[in-house]
Amino acid sequence: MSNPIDKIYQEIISSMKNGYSKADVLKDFYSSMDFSTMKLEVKDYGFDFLETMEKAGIIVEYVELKGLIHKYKLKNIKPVYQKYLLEQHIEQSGNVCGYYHKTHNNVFSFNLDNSHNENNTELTIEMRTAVQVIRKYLNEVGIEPLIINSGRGYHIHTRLDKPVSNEKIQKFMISVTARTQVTIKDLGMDVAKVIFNNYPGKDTRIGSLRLFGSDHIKNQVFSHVCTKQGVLNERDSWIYFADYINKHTITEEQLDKAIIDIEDILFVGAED
Amino acid sequence: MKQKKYIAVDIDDTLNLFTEALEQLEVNYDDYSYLGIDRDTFKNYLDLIKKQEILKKDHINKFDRLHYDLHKETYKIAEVKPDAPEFMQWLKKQGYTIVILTYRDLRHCIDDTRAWLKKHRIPYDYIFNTDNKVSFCKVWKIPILIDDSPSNVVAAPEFNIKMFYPITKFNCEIETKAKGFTKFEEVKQCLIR
Repeated sequence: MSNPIDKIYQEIISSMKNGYSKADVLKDFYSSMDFSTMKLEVKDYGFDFLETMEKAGIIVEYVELKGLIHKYKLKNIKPVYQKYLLEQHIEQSGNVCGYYHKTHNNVFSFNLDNSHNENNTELTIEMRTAVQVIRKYLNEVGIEPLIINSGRGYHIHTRLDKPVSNEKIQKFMISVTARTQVTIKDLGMDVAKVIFNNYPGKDTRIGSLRLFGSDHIKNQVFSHVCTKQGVLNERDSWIYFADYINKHTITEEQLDKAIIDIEDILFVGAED
Repeated sequence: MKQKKYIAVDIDDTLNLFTEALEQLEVNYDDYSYLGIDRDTFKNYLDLIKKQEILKKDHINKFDRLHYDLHKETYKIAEVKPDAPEFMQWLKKQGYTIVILTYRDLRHCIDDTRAWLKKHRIPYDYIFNTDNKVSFCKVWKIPILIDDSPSNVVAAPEFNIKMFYPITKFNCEIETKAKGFTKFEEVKQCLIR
């Protein structure tokens, strides 16, 4: 009997041969993102590099230099260059960070980072607990999140079958975040050791989140999917990611129910 | 082919009167109640921020937010130095590619920054943020930096970057090969030479 994972992999490979690429999978997953605006994290730099982008009609909104990493906020990116940049992201030539839609989104994401005082790549007990607690709260209300190792924490995504108002999404996310923080505190841990950022945030122009499928630009760690059974390798992470769209995408009605149900859930401690 | 000329120019306390504006900023404790800081702690921290005696990297969480919010308010209200727009326009006419080089967290204030530059008719080609301006200039091969930061006033000449700095209370006692100035005309004359 063939391995079910291999079967799914063959199906994905087959659909890719029919023109459905990893870049298409990313676009499907983050379907409400407007990829005409991106933040690009690369090691490339220089005025010639900027001029190349400008000749392609891309507007360089601003540039940040952090260590040896250059981050370019780009606007007005034409579809052909969006595809190129997404392919570069997949080929590990740089990271694409996406901006959430200003009013409605089909994906919402908890971004958990180690606080600045901690070693950025060390997974602290607080971080491990936070991700477990969020998963538990989401599971309690019928959501199976997609958990990705971000390199300095986790991205915890939920996907909807159509864009839903940010107001509704934020109401739910705030409730989950507050419960998680209280739970961590009740367990005697320092909640300040984990930075919680929710996407979409209040101002969607400010924050961008690295898309799944690339290596972290600093530590070269791939954005592995973390399941209850363990951390998946790169190939299986892609399979799980593509499969997640069909298996675990929720409806707006499910989110509405989750918003009500989360209020009735007692604060619980994390499981081992 | 004509060789391109590049120059990096800071904003706060270089093109504007940031420190003066921050010191005079009227802050109402009740407007910042969302931070959940008690009144005494708030007052103490506000004093430190206004005196610029604490670095951004020393901040944690809610204090970091207070720092951001106060600075963001200050970016909007800081007065332009009277001779700054004319000098910047002169640079542009001379063919310089102008990089606005700032410590500002541009994720939060790019719109305010652009609006302020536009309001005061300050031309520029790019806006860059970095925590290390000297290193940035070396990497991007920008030979001239105009900036008030004491650490840059010391470091830039050591890395062969031609450095001009507006003389402030924070940098006036520094021994350096960089050139201090009180009017942009002084910088202009040096660049003409």
